[in-house]
Amino acid sequence: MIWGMVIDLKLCIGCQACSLACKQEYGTPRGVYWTKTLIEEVGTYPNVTRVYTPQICNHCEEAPCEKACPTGASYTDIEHGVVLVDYDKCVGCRACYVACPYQNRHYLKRGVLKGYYPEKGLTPFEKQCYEQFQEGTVTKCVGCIERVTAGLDPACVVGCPTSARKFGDLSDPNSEIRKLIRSRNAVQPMPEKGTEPKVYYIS
Amino acid sequence: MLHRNFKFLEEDTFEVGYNPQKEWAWLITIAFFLGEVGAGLFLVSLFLTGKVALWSAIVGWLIVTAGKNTAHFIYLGKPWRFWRMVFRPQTSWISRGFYATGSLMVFGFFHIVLQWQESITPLSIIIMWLAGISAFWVMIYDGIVMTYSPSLPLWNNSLLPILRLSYAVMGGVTLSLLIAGTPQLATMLTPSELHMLGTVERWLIIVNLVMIIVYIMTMTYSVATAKESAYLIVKEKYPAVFWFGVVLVGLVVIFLLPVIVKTHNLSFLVSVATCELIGDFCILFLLLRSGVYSPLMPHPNIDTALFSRMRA
Repeated sequence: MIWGMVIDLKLCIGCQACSLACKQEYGTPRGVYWTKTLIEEVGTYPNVTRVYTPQICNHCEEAPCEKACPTGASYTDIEHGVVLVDYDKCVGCRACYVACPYQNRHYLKRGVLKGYYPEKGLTPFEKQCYEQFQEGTVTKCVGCIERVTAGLDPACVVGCPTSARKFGDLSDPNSEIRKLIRSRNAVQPMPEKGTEPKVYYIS
Repeated sequence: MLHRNFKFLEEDTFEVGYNPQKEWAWLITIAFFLGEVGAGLFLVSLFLTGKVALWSAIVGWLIVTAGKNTAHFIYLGKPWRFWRMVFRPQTSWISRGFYATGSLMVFGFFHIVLQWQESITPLSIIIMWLAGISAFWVMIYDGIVMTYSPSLPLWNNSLLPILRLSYAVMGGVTLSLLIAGTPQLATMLTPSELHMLGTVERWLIIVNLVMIIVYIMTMTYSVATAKESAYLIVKEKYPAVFWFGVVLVGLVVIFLLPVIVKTHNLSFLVSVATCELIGDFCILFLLLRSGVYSPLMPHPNIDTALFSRMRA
């Protein structure tokens, strides 16, 4: 199964439920959002509108972050096609951070794992979640690989109230997302970068 | 059609706009600068003779070994894992740079020892060549690391490694002139070597000025994000650093000083070297700090007006 996602921009209402679902699932530290919805105000008054663009790691086929990594900490899980980081190998050089055109990598600065309220210590939830992170390393979306392996959809897909995010198998030509990509002229973000993202947008 | 005008974002927000890269900041600027200048000095020393060549090689080697490596070490989030950088030379230019620096440290050390002993054997010549190739590699890899990154249009330009290489050679020539100007070594450099260094320096100033102009011009005729970076450099955020630091102090002054001042004593050489190094540091600082990410859009050619109607 190859991880793939299609995001319907017409359905996104910018509620950030995806960001919260991800936070709830992984307890990412303060200021770290593995997924978020970007908000853009366009036009001039009175002809104005808001445009929402959900953003998530694209788990690129030709991931520049993986190529830039000098230690092999960034790697692609062959079974699911998900780009992951081995925190034990990461040196914190941030080459991957700089190389990602989508700005989907996050550096865990020193002190960031002291929680949202450092003076009060970590909450039980933070204690449990922060065990997976290491300060001085780079973190990113893991594509909810444990959930996917267990046959579940990623947390951001489940959390979306309008079903703007669709998850599926890119290797199966009859999967729902492959049909959507074909029928709705889906586009990849920044195709000119040649990274072959596994996230597609339709509108 | 509605006009799509992106904001310049200073902080990470949930907005769409031009986001500058902030992760490679002061320490990386210092590390790249010391690496290029030190390796440049080492490479130039191979074309000189006697004590000037020896001291240039020692100073260049020390700048790379102690300066560049320390700056990189401090910068790393997990510094004691630095040895892991040997594992990805097949794809990562940082890993290749790690090998380059390591080989310069090893071959450079042996070259200095052999030169100190004034030993000229086939082995010493081989080591000199290997040290020279390593120094060249260190001089150019920083620029390639930046060029290789597809995310920042300002960096993603094949002229960048050549520009950085040219600045590295200029830094090396300037520092070797400075070393040659110290009272203890003043008479060691032959007039032909002094003339060669002076001529190379003058040509490099002209070449660098032309390359900077071409680089900025290329950016302004490139994609919108590259244009944004060019505007940040020349008029929006860093015009003082560019016009005063890079152009005036770093190029014009060092080109005119030797013409205006006739007595080329040590204080004169120190002034020229300081100006050149300021200009070199400023251009590297600008290139690193003005790298801007392209705003995330589902499609680069999306028509906002059409987009709005579809949403309605």
